[in-house]
Amino acid sequence: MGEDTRDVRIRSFREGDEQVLCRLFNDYVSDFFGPIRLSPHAWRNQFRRQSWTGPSLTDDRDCCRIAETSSRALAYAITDYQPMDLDGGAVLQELCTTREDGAEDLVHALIADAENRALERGKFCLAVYLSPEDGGTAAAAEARGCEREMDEGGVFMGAVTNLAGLLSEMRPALCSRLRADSLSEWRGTINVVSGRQSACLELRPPRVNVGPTVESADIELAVRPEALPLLLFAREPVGELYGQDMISVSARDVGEALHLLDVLFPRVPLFLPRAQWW
Amino acid sequence: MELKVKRSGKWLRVYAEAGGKDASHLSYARRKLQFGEEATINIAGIGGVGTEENHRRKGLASKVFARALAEMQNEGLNAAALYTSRRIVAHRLYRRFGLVDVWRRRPAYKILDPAALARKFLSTLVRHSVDLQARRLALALTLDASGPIYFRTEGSEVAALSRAPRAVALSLHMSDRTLLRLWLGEIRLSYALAAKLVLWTGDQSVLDLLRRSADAHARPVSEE
Repeated sequence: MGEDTRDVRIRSFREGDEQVLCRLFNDYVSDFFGPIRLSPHAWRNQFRRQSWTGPSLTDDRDCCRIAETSSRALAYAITDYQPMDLDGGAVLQELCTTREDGAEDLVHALIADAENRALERGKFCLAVYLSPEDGGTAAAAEARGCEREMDEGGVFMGAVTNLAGLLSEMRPALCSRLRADSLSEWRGTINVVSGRQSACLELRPPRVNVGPTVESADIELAVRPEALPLLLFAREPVGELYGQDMISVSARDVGEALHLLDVLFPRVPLFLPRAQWW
Repeated sequence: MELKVKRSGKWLRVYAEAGGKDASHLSYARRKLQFGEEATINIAGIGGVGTEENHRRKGLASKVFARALAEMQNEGLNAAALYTSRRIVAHRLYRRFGLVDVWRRRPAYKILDPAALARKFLSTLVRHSVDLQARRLALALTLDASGPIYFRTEGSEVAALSRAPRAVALSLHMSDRTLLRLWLGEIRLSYALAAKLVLWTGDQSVLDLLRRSADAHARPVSEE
């Protein structure tokens, strides 16, 4: 990690920290699908007084604990000690670290710190609301004895209301995904049909255009309506959906078509910070 | 019944009125989701969905939902999302409108103070049972990691005792995790007893009262 982790100390939030904490947040969530990048002001605003998604740092600065060395902040955790949905418990709702070696130790230290503070405040349990798909924090939380319960029912639901419009909005991401692959020079058309919705992706490297379906496209992708959000919200890999007959693909070379679709619509771990729920 | 649309700050509210009062309503606001580093898409973040009890089963929610979807498209919102619970009936309605479960929340828990959790759980059961409140009871709860913890109930109050009382009406034995699942409402006490996750000795009538209250408190999620 550069610094000796023995030098790490944990302290509470101070006004002005939002600049560096926001940077930690944006770096940490960059590998996930979902969380929007925040400005320092927007980060701080999530924890304003009377925020219903998180604790108020104005009233209780201990809700944000920062692990730092003498030269820089390395990680932080947000814990709500008065959660509306867990009477008598505390909720660890955000934990972001640098991605350097030793980050796991920081996660352990911040969770242990949250446990101690929860006990001091008379709380009988600590709930960890971090994403199960956030492997680093999930493993550390489990190692500290935090167990996932069966299913408390909470669920995010998504729908695609305008396929062509959504694909148009996604174009920068599609171009970027394509650039990074061996099929980056692939040229052609992909008809995407799902229920009553349809659109055509026209791949002309380095551009991707979206328009109405064309006759005899190079690839015909039919998606069952219930699978469309799973595909476009990066929840299920193309191969899995294909294996479950949730999508069907017609092309001269189906193997190559599936590879291309996998590049365009990869599965990405999803993580919505609690403060970005609505 | 007339459908109305009203903007209030970031939120657009679609509602059906009956007799000058809200009968069914849905609100949404423009939100953002990040698609990789490069793309941020605008979506409709849905919230505040509900239908008054005496207006249910009339297709009102469906009409409100259909109108809201049309409004979203007019505003150029190409996707919609909401956070809800699979424990509520509305979950099925959302599915009818094309919303799909994309992410199930799975929190993890660590029990920090089992005795305090036990007291909280018993307090919840007593508070919701007039029959339990009518009795003055001494209860013992043994968790895996600790010796028995003794409680006294009186009215709606549950107090932890510092030592064993002379007579215990009911003794329960379970693991910390079973206690947590019962408290979270993930399993019914009836199930936990049948599965021998909870062992008991003592007065069957007290157990029955506890079971009735606990089962009413439980809201297990059924798999579809």
